[in-house]
Amino acid sequence: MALNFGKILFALLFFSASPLFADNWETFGKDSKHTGYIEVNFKSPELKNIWKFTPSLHAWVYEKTSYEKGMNVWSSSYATLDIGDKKIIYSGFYDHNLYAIDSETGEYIWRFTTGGTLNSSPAAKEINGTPFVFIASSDRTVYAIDGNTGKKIWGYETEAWDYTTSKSIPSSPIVEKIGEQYFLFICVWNNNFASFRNIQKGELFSFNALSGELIWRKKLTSLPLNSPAITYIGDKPVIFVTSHDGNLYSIDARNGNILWHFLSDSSIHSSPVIIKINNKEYVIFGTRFGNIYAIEAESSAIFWRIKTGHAVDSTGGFAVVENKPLIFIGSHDRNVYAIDCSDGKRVWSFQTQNFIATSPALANIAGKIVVFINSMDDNIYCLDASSGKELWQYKTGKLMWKYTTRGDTPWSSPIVTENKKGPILIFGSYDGTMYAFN
Amino acid sequence: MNIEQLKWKMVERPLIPIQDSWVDATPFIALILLLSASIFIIFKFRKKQSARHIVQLSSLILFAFTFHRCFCAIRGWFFGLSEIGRDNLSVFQNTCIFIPIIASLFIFGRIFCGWICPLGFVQELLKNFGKRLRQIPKLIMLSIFLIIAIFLIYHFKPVNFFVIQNMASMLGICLLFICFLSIANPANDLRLKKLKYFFLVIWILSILLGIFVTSPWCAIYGNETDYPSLIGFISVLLTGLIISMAWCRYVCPLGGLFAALARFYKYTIKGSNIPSEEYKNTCPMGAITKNGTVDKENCIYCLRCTEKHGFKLR
Repeated sequence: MALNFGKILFALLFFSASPLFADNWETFGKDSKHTGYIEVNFKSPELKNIWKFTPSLHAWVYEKTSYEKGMNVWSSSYATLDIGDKKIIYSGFYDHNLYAIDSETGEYIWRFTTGGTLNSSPAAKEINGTPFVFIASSDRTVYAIDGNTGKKIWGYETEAWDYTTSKSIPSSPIVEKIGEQYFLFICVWNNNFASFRNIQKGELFSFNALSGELIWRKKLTSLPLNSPAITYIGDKPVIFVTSHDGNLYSIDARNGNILWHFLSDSSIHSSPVIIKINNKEYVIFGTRFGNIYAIEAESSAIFWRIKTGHAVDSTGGFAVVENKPLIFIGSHDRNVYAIDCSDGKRVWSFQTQNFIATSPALANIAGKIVVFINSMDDNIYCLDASSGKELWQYKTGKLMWKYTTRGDTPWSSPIVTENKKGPILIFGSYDGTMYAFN
Repeated sequence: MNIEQLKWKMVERPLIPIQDSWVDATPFIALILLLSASIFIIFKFRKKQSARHIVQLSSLILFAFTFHRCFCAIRGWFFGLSEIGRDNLSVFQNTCIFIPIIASLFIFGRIFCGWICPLGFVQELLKNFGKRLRQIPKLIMLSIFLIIAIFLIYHFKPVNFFVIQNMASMLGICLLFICFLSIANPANDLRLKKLKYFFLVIWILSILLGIFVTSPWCAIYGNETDYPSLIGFISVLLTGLIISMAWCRYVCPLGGLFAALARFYKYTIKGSNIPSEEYKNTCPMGAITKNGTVDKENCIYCLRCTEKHGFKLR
């Protein structure tokens, strides 16, 4: 009887806590620093598929053969939020819809239709009691949606429509509290291919996340930009953005002024990861030449650089493993690398059977940090973070289109979250299906 | 296999960045200088072969070991032209090589092949290295090479997207088979040379379909561990030991494009029209017929025939 009372008391205490579960996977790369690590603990590496979700009602409208350059099946990653006692997963799909999916059942609760494909990850954050989901569509618009009801709160068209405008390329947004105010930062590339009023601009936008008021916008380049990351240097909030033009930009988050920019060797399709070693911050990203750079956040000096065998489009995941600060990153040379952030040396590499263009999700299994990453060989892998040993793999289906142009598509990456039933791994495969494992 | 630490590019960051981006103007300037030097040597130099080898060596050092960016032909050109109005930097990056090469083509035909192309130069060098190897029966040697190539493809093939991602290694295998036919009956050589038009058509169709075609040189230009390209490159090196410039003769799609435009060349080499057996080993491309005429589709303007047999450039 005493035992039962204890159980009941524990359950009451557990379920009355807020938030209910581990922290949320807020945006692409988990948080506004893109570290990709969540403190969630799976019991065993024998993960089982618990549900699958395919928006088959709608996929037929958008023919499977209608692949367009850069089109993704699922948005590059997902965002999660606690709504009541449920953990909701938000994800965009190439059928133009943002879906809110119940993490326990895999059924969608609502969907919100935009005017274009959703190729970048949403960001989700509870602000002043309202669950906000932010996403940008290729219809050039940034949307703020109520995460509970799926109703639009505000929208901002970054460029006016014209007969000659092409689809925009937006990045995944981040939400950050600066002072007392929540800001939404997002990059959008817009193009009007008309000869005389030609527009090619990659801009960084700052919005008041609550009202949608534009605070500032800054043109950085003529090419697309990747998802921004933010940190504080001293008391100054600084945004870091990588660009297809090969630059890493450091920008004052308060006014959009460029503090410095660092020109790398090639086009950059990997978003920056901000890490801290010995109280000093560094920005890590990969390039299409195959180099991985660690740049000092304050000065733009190169801390270290390591060459992989091929392009690095993957955004790294960062965790301290056995007292070593490690970054885990995939390459088109088919390998996943673990690199020691203190000296830029390779700790281990794991070879898959096709190129890797996605970003890892880091979590724990039985107290040990593991790396979840998918490869273009149709598999998702779970690797031991300290040794690179394969712990688990799952084969999904084949690409739903006949082909894609290599390097043009930002493939979907896995995320980890936790609901009432325990930890859960979510992965949207290019076969058109979203898989959940626990 | 893990060769991720191999680095052979001396310059990794752009020397003359365009619009402060990674797109570099240096390879474009280098190509124009090399082409200008080649034309100058053709008209003004006496020791043309030594000067030509210096230009070729410079090109190899610059494009294979110095500049880090890819020197992409045909696929890059299509991509660059498709980006007009969308991405001016890509347009420049992908077409800056196209413009000087095509401009030189209408004056001196395949001068790029004979003077600039690093892959052509490597094959010319291999012809000298392969003298001892050629004592082994060629068909036996080719069989060994073919087995090696098939083993490499089997070992390094990606598990999916086989056709899309294996263009370079499939071209390498095709080259080995074509060399079999050529060695089995040398009289086939002229007909087999026409195959490069077939590969050009396949190449262009693949690009139009959106297939990311790679060639044997991609891994070297890009400093990439791209297994299909490496396998294709190995096949080119192996066949180059047996047949002089085998890749350029039978498969190279860029060579096929140049050859298809042969009627527009301003300067060509006129043969003696005197039948002789001496011509047999002069031309690395086998472009001189027994009758002493020069096949301008395959002539790479190396000028050996002008020095050795008194053929004229007109």
